[in-house]
Parts: sequence; C-alpha cells; structure tokens
Amino acid sequence: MSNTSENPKPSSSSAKMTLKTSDNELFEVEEAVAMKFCTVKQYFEDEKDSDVAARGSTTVIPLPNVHSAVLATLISYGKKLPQSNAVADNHEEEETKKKERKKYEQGLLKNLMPGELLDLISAANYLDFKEGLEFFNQALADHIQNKSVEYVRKFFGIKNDYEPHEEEKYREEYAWAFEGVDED
Amino acid sequence: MDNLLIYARGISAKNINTHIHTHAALQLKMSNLPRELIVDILSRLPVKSLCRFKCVSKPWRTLISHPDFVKTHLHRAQFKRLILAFGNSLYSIDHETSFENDVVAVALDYFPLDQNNQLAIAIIGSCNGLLCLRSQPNTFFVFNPATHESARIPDAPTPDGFDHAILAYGFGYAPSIDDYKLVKAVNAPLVAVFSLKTSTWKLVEGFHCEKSTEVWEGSLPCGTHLNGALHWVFKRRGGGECVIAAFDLETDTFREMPVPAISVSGFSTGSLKGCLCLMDLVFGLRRRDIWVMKEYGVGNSWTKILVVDPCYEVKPLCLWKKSKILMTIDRNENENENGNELVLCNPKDGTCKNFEVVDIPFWFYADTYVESLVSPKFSAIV
Repeated sequence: MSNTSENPKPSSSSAKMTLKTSDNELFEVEEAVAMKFCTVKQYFEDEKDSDVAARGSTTVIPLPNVHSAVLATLISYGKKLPQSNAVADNHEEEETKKKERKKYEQGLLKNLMPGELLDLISAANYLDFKEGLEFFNQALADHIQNKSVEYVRKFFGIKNDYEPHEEEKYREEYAWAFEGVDED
Repeated sequence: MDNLLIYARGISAKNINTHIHTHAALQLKMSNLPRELIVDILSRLPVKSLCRFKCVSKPWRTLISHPDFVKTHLHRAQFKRLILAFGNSLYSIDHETSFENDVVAVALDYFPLDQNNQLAIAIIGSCNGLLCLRSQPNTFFVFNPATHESARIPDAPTPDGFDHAILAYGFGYAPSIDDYKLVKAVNAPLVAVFSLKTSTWKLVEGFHCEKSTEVWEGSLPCGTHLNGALHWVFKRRGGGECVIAAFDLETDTFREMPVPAISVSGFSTGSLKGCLCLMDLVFGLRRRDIWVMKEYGVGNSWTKILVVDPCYEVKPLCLWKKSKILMTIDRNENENENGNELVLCNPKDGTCKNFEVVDIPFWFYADTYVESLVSPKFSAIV
C-alpha cells in the first residue's frame, strides 16, 4: 500500500497536499487529484485564506473518517479520471485513455470485496468525491441487482420487520420477481 | 465475513473482545449508510429487483413505493425496451444491449386477456413505462410490463353516433398535472378524454380547423405523444393540405401546429429524440420522406432528414446506440399483408438494414417503453 503519490513527474508544477487518515497514515497527493474531493477542496480553500505562505505540502489535512486502505483506492481512482487542469487531448489520446480507464475499472471491481464497496461509498460521500461516488454506487447496484432478499438484508444490516405470513403473501404475489435470483 | 479482517488486524485470543466490538461497529456502519445514498443505489436497479427488494423490510417497501422514488427511478430511464404486438401476444425486446444477430423477444404472458379475444391487441401509446392497449374494439387497458400491473379503463360514455365516429386515439402524460390520459378523438364537436388520476371520462370540444369545418378523412394512426400533448395530422377533405392538431393534455384543448411547406398525399406523425416527425408519402411513389420539427412549434424548423424507399408506411421508434434510427416499416400497400418489420437506418447515408427478431418475422404494432415503477392504478396501496 503506497503512502506517497506514484511517479511524481519532474516537470510537474502542481502542488502536493498531505492527507492524514483515521489510522494516522499520511498520503501525499497531487493537488489536481485532491481537489476532486470537494471536502478537501473546501478545507484547503478555508486554510488558504488563513495562511497563504504555507500552501500544499506543509498543510496536513485530517480525514478522521477515512481509513488508509479506502483512501488509497479512492486516490488511485481519482488519478485515472480526466484531470481538469490537463492539456486537452486529441480524439485519439482521449479514446486510449478511456479504454485504459475502463480496463482499470474492471480490474478494480474484480479485486474488491463487496463489503469494501460500502466503505468506499461512505468515504466518497464524506469526501464529496462525485465521480467516485457515481462509479461505486453503480458498482454496488450491479452487485446486488440479482441477489436475494436475505443477502441484501445481511449486506446492509437490515432487520426484517415483516411477519412471516406477510412475507409469504408478498413472495407469492410477486413470485415472478423472485425467479432466477443468484444463490446465496 | 472475511473482509472484516481488514479492520481487525492481528486478531488473537486476547483480542477477541476487540474483534466482536469491531464486528458490531462494522454492522452499525453498514446500516448507517445515509438514506440519499441508498436511494441513489436503488434507483439504478431494474424494476424486477426493486419489486423483490420491497420484501427486504417495511421501510424499504415504503421507500421504493414512494412517488418521489418512482420519479427518481423513472428519470434515470436506464432500461429501455421495445414492445411488439402480434395477434393476441405481446413481446418485449431488449434492443439496446442485444447484438444485431441475436435479438430475442420475451413473450409477456401475464397480460390479462380474455381467452376468447378475437381481435389483435393494438398499442395505443406508451409513456413513462405505461402502455395503453386495446384488446377489443372498445376495451382499453393501461399496463406496466415491468411491474406486471394492469388496470382496465372503464367504458367511455356513448352519446348517439359516438362509436361510429371514432377515428383516432392517443395516450399521453401531462407533467404539469401529473396525469395520464386516453383520448378518443371523434369528428367535431366531441372528443372523449379519460383521466387516470380521476378515473373518469369527460367530453370536450373537438378540433376546429380555421380553414374548413370538415377536416377529417379516414381513420388515423394513434396520436404522437410529445411535450404533454397528443398530435394528429388531419388532411383536408378533397385537398392536399394538411394540418397538425395538438391536443394539450393539461387543458384538454386543441391548438394548431405549423406544417412544413409541402404538399402531402399521405402522412403520419411520430417522434424522434424529443422532436415531432412527419412522415410524408410522396404521391405516385412508394417512398416516405421523414421531416423533423427541430424546434417545437417553429414552422420553419421543419427539416427533411431521411428518405425511405421502398416502403408504404414507416414510423421511427428511437435512436439506437446513439447513431442509427430504429424504425418500423411496412413495405406493402395492403394493410393486412405481412405486417411490419424493424429496420435500422443510418441517417448519414440513408442505408437501411433489417433488424431481425428471433422467431418473429413481423407484427402489427411496435413501440418503445422504459421500465418504470409507475402504477396504472392511481389509488393502489403498495
């Protein structure tokens, strides 16, 4: 698990910021990526007003609600997104990047445990990371789409408050919706 | 629950209490996912999953049934389908994710139909996931193919001569009053309108064309639903001019829409990408020119986008994979011969290719619909 940004480009002039997770790990992140986390952006902008000289790497932004494993994944995903400050690519470069991103996304989802998805969503929500939230929400929807009612209850920690006869009646009436469901 | 180990590293017998505490903490975190996130995630699911998940718990049932959630889910319009009616059967097709040579139709055998029904089912209209179907000359249903719900529309009032005069139908949605309506358009002065919300019929004033008192000629295809109004094209008796009548579903009144400055010998309306289309039969040729009104209500925004030939009837259904136009086409003048087929048309060069459906060579009615949770029964308690 990396706790520094990968391959810093020597020619890059973008500032870096340091994020501190709930388990006290430090992540050095390029500003362009960190700004995709709107919560961080807001914090940074508030800090900037109070101390103009101490920008970027000397400011450590605390993220008490985010674990390092989760932040690593979110930063990794953020890096793969089109950067807002990047020079505009031509069509071919754009298409190549799109394909790369798709491949990365598929690989990411394959190695993810379903429980980790919930943490990524919670963290992306806390960080107000819109693209990340969109991606992981869709991934979770895809994951539960064909699952049984029991699976969903366990997954989200939801208590079943139906009486047995109520549930039985519902399952009979909507039998078609219960067909072809993944086995638990 | 192996993923718990990420958070409870290095568990030993000594740390069992910590383990249990962490497990409980994780459970708590899971069930504390904010409501708006649950709504976001659920709104991405197909209707079948959502109907099943109403059984997860009573709060989930309430959430999924809530009109706001139904709207949010509908707004995503994530799952679009084609509906075909052939004889007494209805078929649903997932046209967007199918590969071109592997399009399979799913028979919808749960639509409540009288076994003695001799007449073919006709599709009157489709909006927001609700289909309006006619099974007998005067029997209409509103049907949601995704939720399997249907409701029979009570028979219309029948003043003298009413039934003989019915010439056109239409089904649409008025967003400003959140109501679905079935319209039976007849010769002036009367039009019958059924509102799903109030479950009642009412008679309103028919279409009066400024230029002539008798506009109609022959029976018309079903009205095109667009922008909260139903549209029919009426051709003047004996003349070549046509006029587009738009029936506003909020006010239940007609207004006239501008037509392209062309002379038509036959016509029908349709919609594509949110714009009104006019299909014009070129006199003497088996060819249809398709015009699109790029700006709604603006007469000089009518633009010819495609020429389809040979064909007798054509109706654009939707944009397929963002670039081609999926249309139903009838190549024969005799209405009872061979029905319609599906073609995919490339608007850039006008080339058309058959869009084959496995085991179904042709049908009589086709339309598109989106999977939604909208209920045909307005007073339904779920």
